[in-house]
Amino acid sequence: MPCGEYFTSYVSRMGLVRWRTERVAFLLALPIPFALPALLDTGTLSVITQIYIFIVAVLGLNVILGYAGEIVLAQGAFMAIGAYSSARVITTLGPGLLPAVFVGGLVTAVAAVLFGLPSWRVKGFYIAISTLALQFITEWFINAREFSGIHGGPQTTLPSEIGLVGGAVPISSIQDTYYLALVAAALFALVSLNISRTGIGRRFRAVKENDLSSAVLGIDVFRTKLLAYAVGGFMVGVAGGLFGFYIGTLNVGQFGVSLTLEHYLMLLLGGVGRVWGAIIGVSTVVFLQDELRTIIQEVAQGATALEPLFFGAVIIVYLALEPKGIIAGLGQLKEYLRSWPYAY
Amino acid sequence: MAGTRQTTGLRAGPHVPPERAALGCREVTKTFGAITAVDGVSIGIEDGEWVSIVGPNGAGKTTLLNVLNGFYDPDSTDDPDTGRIFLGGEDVTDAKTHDRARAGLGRTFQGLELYEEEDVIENVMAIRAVREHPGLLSALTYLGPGRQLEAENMRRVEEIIDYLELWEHRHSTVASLPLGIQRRVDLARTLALEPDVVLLDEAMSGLTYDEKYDMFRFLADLNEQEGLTMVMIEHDLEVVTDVSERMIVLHQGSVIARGDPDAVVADPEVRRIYTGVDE
Ligand SMILES: Nc1ncnc2c1ncn2[C@@H]1O[C@H](COP(=O)(O)OP(=O)(O)O)[C@@H](O)[C@H]1O
Ligand SMILES: [Mg+2]
Repeated sequence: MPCGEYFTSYVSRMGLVRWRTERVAFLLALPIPFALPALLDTGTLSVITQIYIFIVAVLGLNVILGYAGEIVLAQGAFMAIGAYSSARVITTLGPGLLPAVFVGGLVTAVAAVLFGLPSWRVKGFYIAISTLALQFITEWFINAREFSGIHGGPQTTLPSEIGLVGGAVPISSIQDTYYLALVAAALFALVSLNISRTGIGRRFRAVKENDLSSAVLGIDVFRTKLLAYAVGGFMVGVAGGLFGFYIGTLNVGQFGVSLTLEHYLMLLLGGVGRVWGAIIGVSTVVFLQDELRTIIQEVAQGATALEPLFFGAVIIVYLALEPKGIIAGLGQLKEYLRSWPYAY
Repeated sequence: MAGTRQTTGLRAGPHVPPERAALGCREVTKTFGAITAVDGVSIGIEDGEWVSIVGPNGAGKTTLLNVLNGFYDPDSTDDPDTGRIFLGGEDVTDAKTHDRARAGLGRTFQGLELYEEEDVIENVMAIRAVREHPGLLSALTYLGPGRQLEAENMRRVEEIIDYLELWEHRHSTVASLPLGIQRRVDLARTLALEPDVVLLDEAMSGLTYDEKYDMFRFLADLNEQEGLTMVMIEHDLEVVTDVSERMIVLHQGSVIARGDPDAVVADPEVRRIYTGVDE
């Protein structure tokens, strides 16, 4: 019997924070996000709020791309569908922010499943094309004023104060939005971890790695893929709904292909298929972007093209060095420290 | 072909009527364009039997398994009594491949087809999740029955891993393991389904003598102690005559001999195919 900690039951072995040091670190870190609003200026707080919201969106992408292996190029469209349908629910029915965002998630899940239907016959490249079509259809649809009766117009402004449910618990300040986004990010991070450690996530990964043998061994590949589209789509839709409220005025241009690429970069940089990868990837990219914008403003005002250029270069260099993302690099560091100073 | 089929000895029809067999098919044909890979084959595997299918490369052995488990649809026929597949007495010709697996038909692969990036436990757990899994809400929240079911699945998977002596490899990525161990993982994965019948496609091919011996030991235990029905494609005639109760010889898509392995191996026609005079 090895010395030290060991597991005494299957349930404890499948826990999320399994080791005593992990548990202590987790408990120590837990209050930090809750304390930040008292410590930071509103500008920084706003940046972190966006990080939380994008974490939800990238975790949704991670379910579809990282777990199920489907290359879906409709992230921007999913965010738009979530944002516009939540906004529509808020402006017409006024049930409060949570129910509206929930509906936004559901509508996005349905759209995702519909555009995932071709995965019955095709995969890989063809799914990428089919979902890219959703991107263009969505942009065209929202820009079409004759459909304003459905989507409420390409430019929708949301009230700056909305109750969480009905008129209760009004959300108005950046601090309120910050806490809401924090809870959403934590909740969906937990949901993602649960997917990953239960049969659902295992079937997703099985389908990603070998759809042929999965089918022969009893996995309904098509249904499994659609489930990934639904769950992932729901998460991206919820993020869209929150993002809409966060920015206040919706504009189709904010939900274009560039948003899709940005979220792909975040996930690739952090580590595909890993919850912590998504969190670290989003945080790194958003902070870097913010810093970069400030620097470029100072040294070369108006040179807006520099930002994506520099940014693309950083990411390409990093991925060339560590293709599995930051989380894999950190994993190696952790392994090194764990066995330090005697690696055996 | 129906006209040339004899009805006695090594040229007799199925051992048991396909409709009542643990696994059977009646006059199944599968063509790929101009190639007839499986040509009017009928078989009937009895419950608890260990049957070997042999035949030269390209004889249609793998295709026959693929048709049996629904990975390929057989060619459709005008006669509703032919081109049918049966599992445990049920006509499953129209059932999807994943439904046949859940109904108790397991399978290993000539080319392994494992989840190479995952470790051994994950490979087996993935298929275990097919058999027993919690509802969506219970899984997403990891509360209530979801958590208990996962623990129970893990316990069962550890049992299978123990049974196949895979402990030391539990956390190894499958791609990093030697072929003999990978073939064992493939077997473990299909056992997680708790199947009644397992199709083994060259489960011993490429293995060293020791690895073959281990695989043979596990299969014999599964057949004798667990009563698992096994249909095994195998090239090594020594292994076949040693272990299997019956043997089926495929040649150019047709069954050319079947029955007691020693008698089949001694048959002049079978010898002719195996010594290559025919080709
Ligand atoms: N998917 C396929 N498409 C076209 N031809 C195939 C396919 N699968 C098998 N075949 C052909 O069917 C014949 C039988 O192949 P197979 O069943 O793999 O033989 P065995 O397993 O006995 O070596 C071969 O001629 C092979 O080329
Ligand atoms: Mg073969």
